[in-house]
Amino acid sequence: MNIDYSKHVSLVEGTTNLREVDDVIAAPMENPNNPRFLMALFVSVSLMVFCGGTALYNLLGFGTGTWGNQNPVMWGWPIVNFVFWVGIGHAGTLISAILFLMRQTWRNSIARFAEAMTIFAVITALVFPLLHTGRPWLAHYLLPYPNERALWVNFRSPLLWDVFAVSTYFTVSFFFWYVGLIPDFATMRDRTTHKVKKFVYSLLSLGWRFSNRHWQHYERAYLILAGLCTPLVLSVHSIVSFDFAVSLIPGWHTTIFPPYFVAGAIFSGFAMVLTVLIIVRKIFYMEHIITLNHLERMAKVLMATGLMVGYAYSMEFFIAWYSGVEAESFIFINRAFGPYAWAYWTMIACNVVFPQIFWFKKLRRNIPVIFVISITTNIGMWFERFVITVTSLHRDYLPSSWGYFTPTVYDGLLYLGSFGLFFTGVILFARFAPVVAMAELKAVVDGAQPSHHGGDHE
Amino acid sequence: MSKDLKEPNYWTSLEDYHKSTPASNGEFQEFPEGVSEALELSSMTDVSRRKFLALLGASAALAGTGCSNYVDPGKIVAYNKKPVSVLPGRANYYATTLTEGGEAFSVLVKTREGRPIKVDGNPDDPINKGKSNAACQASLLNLYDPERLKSPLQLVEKVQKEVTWDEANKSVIAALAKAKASGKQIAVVANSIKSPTFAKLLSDFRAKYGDVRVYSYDFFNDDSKVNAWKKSYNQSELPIFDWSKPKVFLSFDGDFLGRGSNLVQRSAQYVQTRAAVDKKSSSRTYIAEAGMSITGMNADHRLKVSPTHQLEFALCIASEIVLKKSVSNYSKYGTISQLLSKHSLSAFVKKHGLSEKLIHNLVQDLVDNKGEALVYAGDQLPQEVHLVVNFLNEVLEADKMYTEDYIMEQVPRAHIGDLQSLVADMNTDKVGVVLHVDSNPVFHFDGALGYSKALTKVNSVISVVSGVSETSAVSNIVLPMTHDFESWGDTNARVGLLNLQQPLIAPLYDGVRQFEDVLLGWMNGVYKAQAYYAYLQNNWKSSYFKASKDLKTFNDFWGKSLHDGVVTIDQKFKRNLSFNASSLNLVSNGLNPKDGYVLEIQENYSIGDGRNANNGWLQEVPHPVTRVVWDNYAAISTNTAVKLAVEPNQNIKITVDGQSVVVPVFVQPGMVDGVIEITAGYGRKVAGTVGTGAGFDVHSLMSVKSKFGPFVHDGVEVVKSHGTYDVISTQEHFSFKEDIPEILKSRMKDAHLRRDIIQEGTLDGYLEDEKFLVDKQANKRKHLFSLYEEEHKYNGVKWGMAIDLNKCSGCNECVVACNAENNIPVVGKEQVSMNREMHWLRIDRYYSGTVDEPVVSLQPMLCQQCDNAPCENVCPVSATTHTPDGLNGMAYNRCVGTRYCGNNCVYKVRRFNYFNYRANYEEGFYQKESFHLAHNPEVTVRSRGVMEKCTFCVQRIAEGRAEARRNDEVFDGSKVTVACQDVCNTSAIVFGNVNDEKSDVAKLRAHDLEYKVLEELHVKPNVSYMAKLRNTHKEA
Repeated sequence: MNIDYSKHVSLVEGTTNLREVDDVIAAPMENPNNPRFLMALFVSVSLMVFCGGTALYNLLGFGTGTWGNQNPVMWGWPIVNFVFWVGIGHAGTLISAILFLMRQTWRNSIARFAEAMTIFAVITALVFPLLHTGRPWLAHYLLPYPNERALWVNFRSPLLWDVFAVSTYFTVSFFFWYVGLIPDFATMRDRTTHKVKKFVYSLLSLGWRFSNRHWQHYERAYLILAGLCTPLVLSVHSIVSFDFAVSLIPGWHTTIFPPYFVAGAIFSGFAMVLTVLIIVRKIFYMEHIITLNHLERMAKVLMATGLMVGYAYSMEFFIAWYSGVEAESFIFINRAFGPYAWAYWTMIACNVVFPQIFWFKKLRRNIPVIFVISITTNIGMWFERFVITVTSLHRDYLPSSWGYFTPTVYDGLLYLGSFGLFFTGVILFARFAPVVAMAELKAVVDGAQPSHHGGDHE
Repeated sequence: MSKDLKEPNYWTSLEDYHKSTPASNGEFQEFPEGVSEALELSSMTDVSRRKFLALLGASAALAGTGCSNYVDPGKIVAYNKKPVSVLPGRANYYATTLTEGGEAFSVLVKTREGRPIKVDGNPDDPINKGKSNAACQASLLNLYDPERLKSPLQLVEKVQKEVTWDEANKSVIAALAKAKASGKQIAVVANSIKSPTFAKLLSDFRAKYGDVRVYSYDFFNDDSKVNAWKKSYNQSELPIFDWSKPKVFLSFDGDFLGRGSNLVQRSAQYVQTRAAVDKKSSSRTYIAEAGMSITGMNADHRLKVSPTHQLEFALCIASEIVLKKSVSNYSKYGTISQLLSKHSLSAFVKKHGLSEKLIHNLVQDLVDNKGEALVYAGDQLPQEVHLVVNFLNEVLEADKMYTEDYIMEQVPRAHIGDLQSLVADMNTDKVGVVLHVDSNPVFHFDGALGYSKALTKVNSVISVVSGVSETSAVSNIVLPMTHDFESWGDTNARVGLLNLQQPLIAPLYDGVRQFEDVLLGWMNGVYKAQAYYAYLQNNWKSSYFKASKDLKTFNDFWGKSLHDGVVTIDQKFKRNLSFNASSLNLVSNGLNPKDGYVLEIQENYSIGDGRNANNGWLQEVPHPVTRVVWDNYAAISTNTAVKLAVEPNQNIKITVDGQSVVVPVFVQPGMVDGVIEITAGYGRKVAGTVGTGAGFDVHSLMSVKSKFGPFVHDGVEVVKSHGTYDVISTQEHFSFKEDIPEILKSRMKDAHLRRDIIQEGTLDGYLEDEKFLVDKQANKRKHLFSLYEEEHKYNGVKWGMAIDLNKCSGCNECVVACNAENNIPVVGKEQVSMNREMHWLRIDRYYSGTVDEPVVSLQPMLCQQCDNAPCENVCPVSATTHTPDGLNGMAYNRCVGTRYCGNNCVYKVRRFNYFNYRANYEEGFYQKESFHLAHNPEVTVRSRGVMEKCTFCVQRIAEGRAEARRNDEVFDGSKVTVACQDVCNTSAIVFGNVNDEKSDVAKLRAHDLEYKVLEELHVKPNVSYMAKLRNTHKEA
């Protein structure tokens, strides 16, 4: 294949008909009895209810001890999963906000879906720190609410920063997503004949009439929100990384963590978006809207961020050696050669080695290959969090207190349940809201921006 | 509100009287009408704003209280009639006596509102001087054990059924009468009897019922030592050594810091010789042993010698000392020189691969310190070894260190031979009644003696027990007895010393009776409660009371005895220390072991002879060496494991004289190859929820035929068996595992030394350079800096602790004391296997050196109460905060359980309630009502999801502070002690106010040997460790 990258590539292939764009995107919402959709919903709801429910019942009924957490490793899978899901929640905002500010119009066809994934990933992520506390029914103690006992939260604790960082991120991302949805809800309102749907879409579209003024305000609001979101993309995972970096534990106590975590989050977020999009474009017949070019670009981002985390991995080792701190250097040798070496090398293979195949154009335009690499990246990034959390804790300063963490079946069930929750959200979203931003997409189809060049910037 | 209440018609002053009509005309009222009055809903209109708000508020409050009640708070009922001397909230202390494992402990029991909650040694006791042991601490759980038998049982149609006491007594009296009539023996099988009054009662019982024979045995005993002494000195009482005097100790497989009787006093005396910190001097300890014991961990030099070779080794040492070094004029020992000349130390050293230099030094040390060297042998070794040890002590003139103190038996102790003849009598139908008094011979002797089979020939088997046991299960009549804390009694366990036992609480259950009362009932025909109390008083009146100036009447004497718990009386033994040299001829044939493996059965460190098996605190306290909980196991060396082709946890089958058991393997560094060490006392089959099935019963291996005595066996067959069994240790023992990559292994080895967690030196090195540690630590502190110009100042009291590693033997008694003081739950073996033990205080054990010759370091580890505590700043809800007196406080009710503090603790001393452990363990066993009584009411009982840790017994600090305030004193903290410190037999733990320069802890903090763990992290811990100085021989 020979592509001239200096040439503008059509973002939407094969159609210039704006009506057709609407039709394709609205189809999943207007054709409710798609058996593939029902099947997917059934699977994810079952995961959520049966796996997640069983784990939850045991957790709330008996205690944190149903998980594998133990004395040196007091944080286990739930924290790993929390960081994993928060990380996945990064791609959406990055794609929609940062790429928007950078005028990367190719983002338009994938932004909406990525944003939705952010919302559901953050919701899923939030479940974990809540359930992770020993007494979830007292989790409101983490909020600085006025009370007659004058008890206040500890603003020095990174966990409290987390509470603010993640909730802010969620709020802003949610509004960003919703603002983008308003014109599309209006489109849906206008298309539907169903009474209830009409009512709901009318409510959601907030009286949108596609007027020029509306568009003007909309563009301004969207730009401001994008501006607000951009620092948040960097801040949330920086603060999540403080949970580790602020501590005193070798393997955690590292200044490289904030950028390293952000890069990792984008890496994992893109991987998850890729995984899901590859399926979605197939199911919803959107191959011409979410094109191979999109996938290729995302593969490039994947490789770039993969190299970044690879750099971080090696820098951690270098510093551990360079610092000369006994416990610190031990932790890293122990990571690579100790009882969790299997997890470490899984992480290295998935995150650093495998994405390197994207140096080859042929492979990064090969959908099955992209799909597989996106999956391995997801696995690798989960293991990254596992390696950081568990291997650092399991052998820290006092050799007398070293241990080995083994998860229980309830750790696994809750993790599966979290996938159920995430996909239930994503699937319901795909059913009731446009998975691609119609308005934005119509703005970038060929010929949508007429000019004296005939629509093309050649 | 009625009108006349609103307008009071009384007045208290004239001013009041004249002002009594308030200005009702608005202008003096600050608030408009209706606002400042009480809320009266009925008087309001339906749509009143205030009514609406009031109802809204009330319903919200109701909903709030309704929903928030997720824990049943229970009921607190006030005293209807307050007992004299009980002030709610204030503890009372009573002196009493606890009989535990053949020993009597004078204890001081803390009671709150009439229930015992903490046991400590009686400070007035001249023997133990206020110290006690783990079993004493844990006796509370025995008292409150819900599985205590609550009513007599009688065998009816092959099933034990509950009967009334009257029925049971009737049957017993009939059985006794029948035995008397038919001239059959009535056998009383008890543990060693320390009570003179009970002994008298038994003799009265004999007078009434004829052929009553008392078999009082201790399963773990020093019979072989006593027998040897008898032969060496023609006296069956052996004097107690003064362990504070020797400069050199040589122990032949004798774990004198961990096993045997008189341990509390012995440990306290021994550490006086380890005075590296106080006096810059130390004794030197050599031990020759096969398994790793507490003494082995603490010894300066440890030699690996199989128990079957101990006799040969002792003879070789004797030969070397007497013949080569001519320490003593051996001609006075007659033919002994001929015997000794047959034994050559150099040949022995060569044959067993010992270090020649070390042995040379050992002999030289013994010779050089003649008169100040003590030789000791383990109770489990055969009599022959003890004979040689007696000879060695004689030659080395150790008799200067014998005291005039003796351990007393009120009834001559039964040896295994006596029990053998009892079994023979039972088998030949000569025994009419067997009465087991709080003893469990079926568990102990079923294998070796066929005890339960013999019991089937006896008409009436009566067991007096506190809870069901193997013996009670095969009895016709089972009678529940009171706990020591519910009983009257006395002991005379030491020459010249009486202990009085008084009840601290009425029997917890109606169906429980003091056995002595019951026995008196059998003698008199009628049971009378408190009959023994009168009997006891009468006996004391006639035997011990002598009017003196201070104590004119018996009542005065009795009152003082009750108060003090101890009474000294005029009682003496005539010592005979003339050595009978011919006794050594008994060893002339030596003891040649057969080929095959050697089995050494040792006393376990926690649950006694099995009697404490149902005690969760003791089951969960880790083995001092291996840190294994809830089990016993076969300890073998790495080489033996390779030879047997077994991995840890693999079951092996051990066969002795046709008897075999299957036990899992534990690979123990420092074991002698070819020796298997197993601790006995485990493997109870009928013991209750906690004890049943914990560990393995190896008593059947204790063949009486062994020439090495019941505890040591040669020619043992060992084969790999099927399956594995999880032996759970609280510490991983990976440091010697083979399958670790070299790059990691080199870093794991001696990590505790390279990280300066353990800092050690030698005494000689210290004397050369006393500042060696100070300089090192100062160099470390140089690199620390703070962001703040001024560090926080602690005014007034600031708490700190100093632990002397020269004194700590790693016995774990502090761990149990901490459990008792701080309401620490039992979690069970399965939870320990997930590293979820809850102990706030633990003893860390580290190995350095090689697998074959390990060097052990011990370190009690508890919350270090850091000034810059890493746990504090990471807690999002401020549940753990710093107190003004320098503690890391814990607000349990505020904790939501994020566990961040636990992760960030560099000492890993925080413990998390992963479950509500009281509910989680065995379906809520420790949640049963009786255990509520055992809780210390001053310490929150933590529920699930809460982090907990040591807070230096903050409840005691608070009590001390309140006491000082009440007495109008300045609180300087000098009177506050912590639970671990109180129990520590070797006084290794010192606690106090570091701001007070005169306090012991402040002095120790300024000592040259002081260091703190992980000081380089600048967390500023407040627990100081005094570096251990090993007194190794210069040339070693």
